[in-house]
Amino acid sequence: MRSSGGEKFVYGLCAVLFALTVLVLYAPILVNALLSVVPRKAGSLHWAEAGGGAYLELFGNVDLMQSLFASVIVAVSASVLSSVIAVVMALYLDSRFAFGRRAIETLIYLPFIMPSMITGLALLIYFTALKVPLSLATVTLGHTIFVLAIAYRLTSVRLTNLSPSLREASMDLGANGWQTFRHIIFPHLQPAILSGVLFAAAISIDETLITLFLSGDRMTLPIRLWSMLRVGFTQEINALVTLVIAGTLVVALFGLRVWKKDGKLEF
Amino acid sequence: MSSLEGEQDLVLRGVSKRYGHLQVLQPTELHVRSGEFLTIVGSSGSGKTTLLRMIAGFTNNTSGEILFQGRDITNVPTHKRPFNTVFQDYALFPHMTVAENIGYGPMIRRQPREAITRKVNEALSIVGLQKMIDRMPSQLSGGQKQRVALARALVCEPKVLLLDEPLSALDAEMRYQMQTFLKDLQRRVDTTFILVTHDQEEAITMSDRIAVMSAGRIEQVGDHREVYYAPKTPFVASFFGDTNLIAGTLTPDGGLQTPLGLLADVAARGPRKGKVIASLRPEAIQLSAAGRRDAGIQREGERICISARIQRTIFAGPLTRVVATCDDHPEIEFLVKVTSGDLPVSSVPGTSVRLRFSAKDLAIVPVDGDEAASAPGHLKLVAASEGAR
Amino acid sequence: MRLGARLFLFLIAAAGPVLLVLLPLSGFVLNSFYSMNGSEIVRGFSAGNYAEFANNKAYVGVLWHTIWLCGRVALICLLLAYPLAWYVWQQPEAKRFPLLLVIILPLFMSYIVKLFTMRSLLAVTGLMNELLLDAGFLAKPTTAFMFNENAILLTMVAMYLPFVFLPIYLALERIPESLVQASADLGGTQATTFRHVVWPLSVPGVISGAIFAFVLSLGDYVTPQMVGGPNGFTFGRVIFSQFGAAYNWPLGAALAVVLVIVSGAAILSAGLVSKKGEA
Repeated sequence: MRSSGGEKFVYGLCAVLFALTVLVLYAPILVNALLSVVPRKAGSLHWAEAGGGAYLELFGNVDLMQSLFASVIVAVSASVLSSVIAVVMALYLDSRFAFGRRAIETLIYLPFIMPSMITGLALLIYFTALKVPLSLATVTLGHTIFVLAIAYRLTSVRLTNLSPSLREASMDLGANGWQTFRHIIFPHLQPAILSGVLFAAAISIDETLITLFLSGDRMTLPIRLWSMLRVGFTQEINALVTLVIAGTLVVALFGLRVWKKDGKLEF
Repeated sequence: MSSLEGEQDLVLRGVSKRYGHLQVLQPTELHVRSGEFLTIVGSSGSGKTTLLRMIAGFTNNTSGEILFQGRDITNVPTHKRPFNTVFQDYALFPHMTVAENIGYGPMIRRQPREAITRKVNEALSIVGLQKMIDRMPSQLSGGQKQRVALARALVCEPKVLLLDEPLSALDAEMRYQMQTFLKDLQRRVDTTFILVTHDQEEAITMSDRIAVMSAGRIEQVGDHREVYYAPKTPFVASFFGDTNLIAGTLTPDGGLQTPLGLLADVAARGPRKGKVIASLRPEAIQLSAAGRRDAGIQREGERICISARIQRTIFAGPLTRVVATCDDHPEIEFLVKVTSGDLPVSSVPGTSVRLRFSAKDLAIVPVDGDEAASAPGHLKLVAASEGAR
Repeated sequence: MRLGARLFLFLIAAAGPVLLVLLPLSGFVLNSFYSMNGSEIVRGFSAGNYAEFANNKAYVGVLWHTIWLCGRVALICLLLAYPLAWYVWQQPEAKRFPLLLVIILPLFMSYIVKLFTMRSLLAVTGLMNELLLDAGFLAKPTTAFMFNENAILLTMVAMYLPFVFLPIYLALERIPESLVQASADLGGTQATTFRHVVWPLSVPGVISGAIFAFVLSLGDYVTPQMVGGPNGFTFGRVIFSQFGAAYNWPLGAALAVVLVIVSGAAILSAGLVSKKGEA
């Protein structure tokens, strides 16, 4: 459709807004990437001294690497665990036998909707009362129930989109419940499960508040960064952050591509 | 009854289905003979799909039992029943090729790979789709998907093949081809076919026997001659093809009394007394010019002749509606079949004509009090057919 | 399936959520009814904490102020996110998804890092001041944007903008092309079409987005702590301090419950408003 001059102006304005927004939104990684190679001393950038040295130092920093490693372990565990639970729950709640579906679904979504501070605090009190020692395991549990909402939602929606006649056809052809799951339902769910795992991992890596309350003495990356917040980031940290963000973005990107697989954003 | 039931027969006894307060299927009896092509036909809401799904095992019956080969299979789960279904939406697995779809049943049964390949090829050649073996369902046309669905069901060698409105999604041309194809196929594989449709023409062309359903009840089961020429209820009478329905009452000595007068001395077939509807097929009526001495209703043995004066005619393709008056009675409308471009007689309003038919062609159907489509004492020839075309 | 088997499955399925969500949360709420005696938690049931909250002008004042702040965050996010969503929606099909990706991806960036970046950007010695100085808008660096409420506002907007963008975009995407074409066919300009067709149909997305931003910012205590300075005191910080220096867990729990109630009320009223619109 042809647009008038006024409409073009508005459109142009929005385009500029878009560009600016992108700059601001991506400032974190851009700035950190910049600072990781160009040292900043006394408030100004020393372009002449630019180099990748910070990255090399980074890999030698055992402390930081350990924190990173811990975060990665938590992220992988939480995303896998939440995916398994999500599939089981989605299947159960979708069947005819389930009652209390609304209630259970509310419980699944709740930790994600509530301020994470509260989820973290509540779990802290809970674990303390049960005398469970705080560790990476408790952090993983906290993350799992947090990201479960995403994994469940994606899986559940995808399951609903499976035409009932396909399940009936499978049974009609002689497959029992398990075989139908293996050959028909599971292949159908795969994109949702995969994107769920990827999103969950990306979210878990930088989830801070819950981690803060549940990690006890264990050092994960967000805690590290948190403690550095007052002091300021060193170039090593800049390098680390750049890498982590880049990695997370790549993972999230895959997740989004997989999610869109059939051309539709199912949510 | 067991002496009449063959070895392979499928019997439904007192089978019904209720959802809460909604009785979708009344307690129903059905006896399906081994090797026959049975069509269950009716409009939507008649319960026909429910019946089929109960046979397949997708829907549980609220009461009654289902027996096959003498065994009660009511509580046997779907995947263990020796039946297979061709779904209305074909239900082909989108992530599998045609070969994998067809091979699904044998794969589940853990048959050896060579056997599966052989059976898949056989099934594909039966439906004529060998070239499509490695295609994905999304690459197939409607008719091809249908044939793949057929092949997939047949490869499991079911004792009964269930077809749920298989032709409803096809265009008219394909539908006709598939009707012939299915009929041949059934003979070739020598398997019992139970097909559900709303299309009366399909039912009547393809099947050995037809079960007509309405509002959760089977109204009649019979071959095409029976349901067409000897309907047992008004619904069945008006379901197949077009017909003229005449309301009337049977006199004690078997005569058919209608608002036009005594139509027939002896009603050829049907019940003995009470309120009835007589169904008269348009093709049974001969329309000709009236003789000078023709008036009212004249009966000569089996021959019946109604004299009337034309008011107007409406051309409707293979049939023509003629609106006429008979003596002092109010207008009646009837359908006649014409075999050439013109009515065999002038259709100018005012022309006197004769309608001649044989008493044998009157199919007499009993009615319950409020079932009568026509108001008592008021002759109404109901012309429209209720079966979908 | 028999009732017994159904119950059994239900218990297994419910076990996870109940054990890890319902119980901790109930425990949390329960804690809000306890009280402190010196440095010991007294497990007696009393509504004392809530009374303390209601009577304490300071607490209530901070709550209202925080609500006002988060309301502004939501508003600014909406004002920015809507044009962005509209812009992406106006693109041809093929270009939409990449642009959508560009806006959504930052959601996956580390929260702490975003916070830190905003802090350095807006600070006295930060990039923003440098730009303003160079461009001649300022004679000397300003502290107007850091360690105060403006900082909290700006930072939160930067953080939550993608959250608001998504529902608005999804709502726009759901508008059938045919409606827009019909409006043009009947003589409408883009402006009229927008006013009468696009905007009304996008309102549910706008409401969702606004609620997202509001609830998320309400519960965010880290941002105010890090960029708010002594003036930027929000309710979230009050809550957190009960678990830190002030060491009054029951009170903290009670205040947190109040926060949840406020969030819940916001979500509910948004739900009611959108239902009313549908009716």
